[in-house]
This record gives sequence, structure tokens and C-alpha cells, in this order.
Amino acid sequence: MKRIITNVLILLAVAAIVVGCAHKSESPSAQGDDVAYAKHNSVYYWKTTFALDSTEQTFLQRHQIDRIYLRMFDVAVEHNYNTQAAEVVPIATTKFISSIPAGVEIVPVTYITIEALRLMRGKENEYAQLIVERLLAMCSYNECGAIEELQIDCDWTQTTESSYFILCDCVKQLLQKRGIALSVTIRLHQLCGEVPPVDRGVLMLYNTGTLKKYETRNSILDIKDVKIYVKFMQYGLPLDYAYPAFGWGVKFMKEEFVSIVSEQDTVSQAGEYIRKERPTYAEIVAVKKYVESHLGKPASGNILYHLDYSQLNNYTDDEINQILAY
Amino acid sequence: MMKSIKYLLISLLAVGFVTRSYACVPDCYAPGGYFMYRVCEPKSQSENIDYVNPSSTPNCLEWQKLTSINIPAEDIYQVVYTMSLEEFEAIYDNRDATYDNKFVEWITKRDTAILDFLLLAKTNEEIRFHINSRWYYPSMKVGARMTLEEIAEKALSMKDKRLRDRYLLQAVRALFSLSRYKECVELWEQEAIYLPEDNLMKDLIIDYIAGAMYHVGDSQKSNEYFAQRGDAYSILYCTGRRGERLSSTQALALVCEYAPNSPGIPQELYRIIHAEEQKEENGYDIDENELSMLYELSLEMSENSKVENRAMWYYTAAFLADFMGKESVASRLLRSAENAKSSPYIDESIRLFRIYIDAKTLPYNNEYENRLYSQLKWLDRKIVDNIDDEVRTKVVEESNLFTCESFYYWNDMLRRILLAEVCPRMIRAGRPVRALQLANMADNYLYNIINCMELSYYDYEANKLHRELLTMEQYRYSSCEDNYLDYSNRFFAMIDTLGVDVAKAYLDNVNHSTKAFDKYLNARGYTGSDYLNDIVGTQLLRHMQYGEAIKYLGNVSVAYKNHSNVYMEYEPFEAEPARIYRTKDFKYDFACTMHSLEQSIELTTNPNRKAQLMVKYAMGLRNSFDWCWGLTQYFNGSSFWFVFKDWDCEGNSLKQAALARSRKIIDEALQMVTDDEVAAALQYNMCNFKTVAKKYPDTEYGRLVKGACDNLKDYHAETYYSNE
Repeated sequence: MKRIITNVLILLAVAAIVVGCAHKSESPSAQGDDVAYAKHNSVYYWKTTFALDSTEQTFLQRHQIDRIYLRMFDVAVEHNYNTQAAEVVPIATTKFISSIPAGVEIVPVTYITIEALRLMRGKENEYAQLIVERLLAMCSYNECGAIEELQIDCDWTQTTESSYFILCDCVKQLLQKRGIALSVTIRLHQLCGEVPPVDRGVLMLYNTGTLKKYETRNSILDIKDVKIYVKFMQYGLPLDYAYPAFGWGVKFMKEEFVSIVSEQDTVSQAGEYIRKERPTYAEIVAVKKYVESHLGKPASGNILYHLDYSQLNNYTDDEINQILAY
Repeated sequence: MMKSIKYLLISLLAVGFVTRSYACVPDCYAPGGYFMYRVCEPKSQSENIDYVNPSSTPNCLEWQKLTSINIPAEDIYQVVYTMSLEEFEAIYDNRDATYDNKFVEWITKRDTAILDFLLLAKTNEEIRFHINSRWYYPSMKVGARMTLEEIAEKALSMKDKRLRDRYLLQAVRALFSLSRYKECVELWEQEAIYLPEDNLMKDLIIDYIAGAMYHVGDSQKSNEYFAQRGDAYSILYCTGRRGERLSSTQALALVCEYAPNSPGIPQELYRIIHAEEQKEENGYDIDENELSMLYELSLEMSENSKVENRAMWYYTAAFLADFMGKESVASRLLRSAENAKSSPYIDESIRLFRIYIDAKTLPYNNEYENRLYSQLKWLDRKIVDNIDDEVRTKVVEESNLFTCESFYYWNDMLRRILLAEVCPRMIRAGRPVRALQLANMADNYLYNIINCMELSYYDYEANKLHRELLTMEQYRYSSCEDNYLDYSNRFFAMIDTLGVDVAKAYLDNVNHSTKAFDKYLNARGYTGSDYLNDIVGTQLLRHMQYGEAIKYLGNVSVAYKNHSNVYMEYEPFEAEPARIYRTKDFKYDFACTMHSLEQSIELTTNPNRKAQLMVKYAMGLRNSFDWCWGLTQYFNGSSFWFVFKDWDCEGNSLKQAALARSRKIIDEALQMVTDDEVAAALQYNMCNFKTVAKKYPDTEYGRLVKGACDNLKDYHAETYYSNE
């Protein structure tokens, strides 16, 4: 018992030092924004069941992670058998098993499929209300605490941009009444387009390459892919940065994509090839350095994608701290 | 619609050439297309809210009973079904205001208990609508005045007997939505199950109870209830087969597995089979695979000891066997149906189907006729006993029997069995008179019973549509409207094609038969002496049997001749159409003249006089098939409107013979003339002006033609009307 307490104390001491490190390099973001944002270490939670095991709870504490970007549901298109029409509906709603850890801010996130976005055209205001109402109802029902930010994740393109921006605008107006900020995810390619009418963005620095392409070296993160978009870039929104902390295998048969598999999977027949993808700490930090040198420091902090200890334990505490540090 | 078509066709006929017949109107379906399968009364569309006819929605009618029959069902429908909660709340809060809607007036001023109930029900539905949305998440606000818990509590506390069943439904709905399934089941077992079987609310409650039973873990009971409601897909869901697609028969089989006596089974059987009957009638391919599966299911169920009405399944199997062309199998299965446990309703269907199967399979001899006689007496009784106001109105106002549109099952079946099955086989069996008697009964029995027909026509002088109810006798002798009825039906088609000897034999049977079956059938057809004598007489004219025609046409009363189905506007003995005043006795007069000419030709020895008589006779003969065709026919052409295509009218085949004979008589007459003046006069009367000028230039007519060739149209008439 005495030994356990001693270990915990040592851990806490180490954590305190690490957190101290994480916060020491405070500097304004490079987006030319004078607003000073509260600083956070954040993590995405991207599963359909919110159930934190003890290792994950400890991980949050150990790294002073005080904000979780929690996916609540996806918005997709489904065929309604009664009306025989396609309709935009929420799917894969997250089920809450664990309660929200004390002192952790929840940012509810919804992922909107491109098909759903297309079907929303002309009815963006209606869906904005539904999305906001449902996200906030989920937060309230599951006691997520005071909500300060809400996030929309969508891989919008040029053809869907106008509809998406209308949707964002409607959502933003609804949230303003409640004193809640709206953020959106920004994919690298979206840096080149118009800036969405939201309060801030999260630049996704993962899934940067083409997953299904045989020649891709690492679809999760490759600095070459990042440089194409980030070089000389300025962006009109305060940005935080989301870095990957996961890996997987990408299976090919005769150079044709088959599926995503576990990193541990092995080839079982001739012609098969599994590309093992896991960004190393060095790769992540190199990207981080490059991005910050061009786009500036994050507005409020860095985010890990995502909270899954089986993935996170591939990185040391120090590495995690260095990724989160700003 | 049919009347419109009729009037349109009659209008088209009115611009026709000479003698006109109004005998025919469109006949849209064949008698074999009447739908026979019967295991239940077809579900009224009014029971389905999707086919809203507010005045007949059962729930609206129930509300009418609870309030006042003077309140239009449309007003009730508007409040109960279409009014939003917000609108209703506004009424609830302003009950002293005056409203146009009589139902609202009633419940705000005279029966506020209903007002309270409807507020609760609408609030319940509003909340349920929200929470049933895919977007709903607990804790989302729905903007209602009560919560579901409060609704359930209040609904259960209401003891008003009049509205108790309705409150029970609301309580069950609220409890179900709150996932309080155990309480739903308790409510059912303690109270709702004891509501009368025909209670509309009980019907609605049971759906929720089936679901509640599933949630409390009583899957067997749950599936039984779902099956009783005919809900195969819920059974699939509860048995872990969600997402499977079933054909109608597969779904029915699933229902039968859990509730072999489900009250919904007959309706589903009817729906499936009726759909296939419709496909066949409309010329589409039937789903043989589906029917085979249903046939197998029927056989299986007919042997299932849990089934209460096994006769229904044997009957269904028999029907399907016949439908698929296996008549002897059908007969055998029908025998099993006759001996199986049944219900009075199915017994009737079985008995009727036996008449049909016998008609298709038994040899047509005296024994069968005796059997048919007895069967018809039973069917006759069914027709008489089941006539209601709806049937009576349809017969009187629409008179659409001849189109073979279905509107009265028992009479439809009489027509299908007799016209589609028995009559054709009777004719082939050498019993055409019997066939005529049966066809006449099929066509006319219902009219005989109802004995009423609406006459409607536009009175141009008064500038209004005139409507008048007449007895059938009055209708048939009315000169106001053409009697299309008796000249467009199957009996008329039959008697006009079976030959004059059959027609005469039929008339003789009508007048002299002493046999019971003959008398029975003749009494149920329309055997008016004028009608039949006119038909026989006309056919004799067609056969050039003028002497005999006089006998029959002489029996046609002057009163009957007033009807204008066929009338004459042209002189029948002229070479060219020459308009005359209409005459009522034109057939009889023509027969007399032709018969007189025959006798005079026979008696006259002077060749010139004889030739003159012969030419007149030949002209009459020709014209009676040409522009005076109304003398020998009731219609002109080779089709009997839309149905009787390639109509083998005797008039068509006999016409060629008559024209050939006419030419031959003229040739003979011209050859026997010895006097040029007579010859020239005959040629002139036949419009052979060229011949007159060329061969008889020095005669009186020769000089006339030469001196007035312009007036004689340059002899052109010879091209058209010459018999040379």
C-alpha cells in the first residue's frame, strides 16, 4: 500500500513538471487575432459509446487534459421505408456509460456526411435548429456541464460550400443567443478555400494522405502532404491543431485497397500487402513545428486524436506532453 | 360516366346516314371477369384513414354518435384529424367564442368533457410525434402543457364511461412511449381486454399491447397479438429476423403460424387473390409463384387441427386450383370444404362455388338441368334477400349491368356463372333455347325485381335536366328515351345470332311451355311479347320470309312501336334514298308489301306488269339491307360497339345473298319486258339514264333524258345506283 501511494505521488510530481512544461511556451496565435483564448489540452473522443476506463481517466489527469471534443452523433442520409424518401437523420448516437470527468469541458461534435449536406440544401436553417437542439439536449441529459463551444465536422467541398456556410451561419446565430461558440474542423485542402462563418477552427493534421492509394506512404500523416497546403498560408480563423495518436494497417490485394485492418494483422495470401501506418513522435513533432512556424501557435491549444488508450500507449508520456505543448 | 358515354355514342349515331339503331351501348367487361372469391366482405376504403372520406371514417362516425348526428362528419374530421395542438389550445382557451365548426361549438358549449379529452389526446400525440422523430433526444423540449407521465396519470383517472375506452387508449399510448410496458400489459389484462370485440379503441390498443408484451419478455403472446393484427413484420422483428422481405403469402404464412384463426386472415386472403383476379381480368401476368405458395398454404391450413374454419382454407385451395386450370382438383377440394367445419358465411361461398364448378365440369344433360334448377333457386333467394338500398339505387340510377361492372355480388355471380360458363356450354350441347332462357334471367332478373328505372333527358324547352322514375314497363314503352337496355345485353346478342329458328323456338317456349324449369326461367327474364315478336319478325325479314314475318310483326303492339330504337326515314322501294315521314309500322308494312309483291308476281302473267312488280320487289329487297337496314337489323356493321367484335350478324352474311338475289330478279325482269316504254320507265326508275338514252331514245323517258341531261347530272347516277 505504501508503495502504491509512493508511486502515485511520483506520478503526480512528474505530471506537474510535465504540465508545467506544457504551459510554459504560451504565445499568441499567428492568426492575427487579439482575442486571448483560455488554454487547454484537448482530446477527441470518437466512439459510439462514451465509456472511459481507468487508464483513460488517468491519462486525462496525467496530461491535464481539460477539454474533450466528444462526437455525439453523425448526420447522414437514410431511406425512410414509410415515406419511400431519403431523409437526413442523426445516426450512431453516442451512448453514455461513464459520467463526464470532473473539471473536463465537453465540446459536443457532430459529423455531417457530404450526402446529408447535399440533401439539406434549401433547408439549412431547419437542420441547424435540429442539430443544435439535439446536441445541447444530449449534453444536458448526460450532464456534460456548461457548454462553451460546439463543433461541426464536415468534409465540405466547393460544390457544397455555400450550403455548408449557410448551415454554419444558422448554427452560429442559434448558439450566439446562448453564449456558445461554434467551431468547425478544417481539412488541409479546405485551407485554400473560403473561410466558413464560424468562431474558430480545428486544423486536422491527420488523415492527410490518400488512404486507398497503394503508393501512399502514410495516409495518417506525412509532412509532404502538409507542406503542400500549409506553405505560405495564412488563415482567417483562430485555429487549434489536432494531431494523430493512432495507427492502423491498410490492406491491399494486388495493389487494390481492401480494408483498414488492425496494425497487428498479417498477410494471409499471395498478392496481399498490409501498409502499417502510425505516425512516429518525431514525424508529429516535425509537422507541429512546420505548422506553427507558418500558421502560428494554436489559438487555445492542441488536440489529440483520439482518446483510446490502446492507441495512446504507443507514445510515451513525454511524447504526448510534447505534442500537446504550446 | 357510362351515361355520358352512352349519350356521346348516341349523339354520334344521330349524325348517321339513314335508318338508325340506338340498340347498342359500350360493354366494358366480359361476364367471366366478375370477381368470385369470397371469404369476407371487402374492407371498405373508409376504414383506412389514407383514403379519407371524412363522412365515413369510423372514428368520426363514433364521435357523431357521442355528440349529435346533426354535426357533419367533415367538421369532426377537421378537429380530430387535421387541427394542430396549437389551434386546439386556442379553442380550449377561448371556449366562449363562436365557431363555424359545429363540432367545436358542441364541445365548447355543451360537452366540455370531450373538449378536455381531445386536449389530452392531442397533447399526447404532439409529444409522441416529437419523441418518435429520429432527431428527438430525451430532455428535448416539445412545447406541450403536460408531460407524458401526467397524461398517463390523468387518462387513467378519468372514469367517464362514455370516454373510458378512449382514455384507455391514450393511457396506453403514453405509458408505451414512457417504456412502461408492464403497466400497459396490466391495463390490458385488467380492463381493455374486456372491451367489446367490435370496439374501435380496443382494435387500436392491441397494437401497443403486442409491442408491450415483447418488451416485457412474453414473445409468444406478443407474436400472437401481432399475428392477430396481421402484422408479420413486427413478428419478424421480435423473432430476430428484422430486415427480411416477405411476399404477401410468406407474411400471411407467418401470421397463420402464430394465430391460425386471426380475424385478419380472410381479409389478407381476399386481398391477395383479388389482386390476382384483377391482373387476369386486366390482361396482366398473374404471379403463379405467389399463387402456388398460397395454394400450398391453403392445403396446409385446411389440415391444421388448430384452425377453426378449415372449410375456408379448403374453399381457398379449391378456388386457386380452378384459377390455375385444375378444375377436377378444385371439385375434389370443394367436396372437402363442403364436409369441413365452417361458418354460415363460408358455407354460402362454398355453395356458390359448387354451382360454378358444376357448370364447368358436369355433362349437360337432364340430370344437370335439374341440379342447375335447384341451384338457381338458391342463388335466386340470395339475390332477392340481399338487395339493399345501395343496390336498388345503382340499378335505378346507373343501370350498368350491361357493362358487367361489379356492384352486387350475388347478381354478379348469377351473371358470371350463367353467361360465362353455362350458356356457351348449353349452346354447344344443342340446347340453345335453354341458353337463351338462362341468359335472359342473367340479364333481366335484377331489373325485374327492382322494377324501376330513372329516365333522364335534357328538356330544351324548359332548359333543364328532366328526371323521372319509371317502372320497367313504362321505360320500355316510353318514347322519351331509347331502350338501349334490351338491345345491348347478352341475351339480345345471343338471340340475334343463334338463328331465326332458335328465336322462334324460344318465343314458342315462352308462350307454351308447361315445364317447371322453363316457367321458372321465363318468369325471371324479360319476355315481353312485343319485344320478342319484333325480334323474330325482324329476323324473318332478314331471311326474306315475309309472309311469316307478318305473323310475328303483326303481334307487336302499336304502343311498343312508339319506342324509337330503330326507325325508318326513307322509302324502301325507291332506287335512290328518298326521305319520307317516319312511320311506326314500317317493318310490318314492308313485310306486307313484300309478301303482296311475291303473291302478285306469282299470279301475274303479263310480262311487262310482272317485270314492274319484280323490279319493285328487288328494290325493296336490296334497300332492306342497304340504307333501309333497320328493316332487317338492329344495328349496322360488324361490331357490337366495343365488346362484340367481329359480330357475326346474320344481316352481314345474308346481305350479300339478298343483294345477289335482287340483281338476279332485276335481270330476269328486264329480260322479260316486251314493251320499250315499260322498259325505259323501269330503267329510268332505277336511274339508269345512260341506258334509257342509249337503248330507248324514242320513248317518252328517252326523250326526257336526252332533253334534260344536265338536270340528270350527266347520267352519273348510273354509276351509283344502277342495277345494270
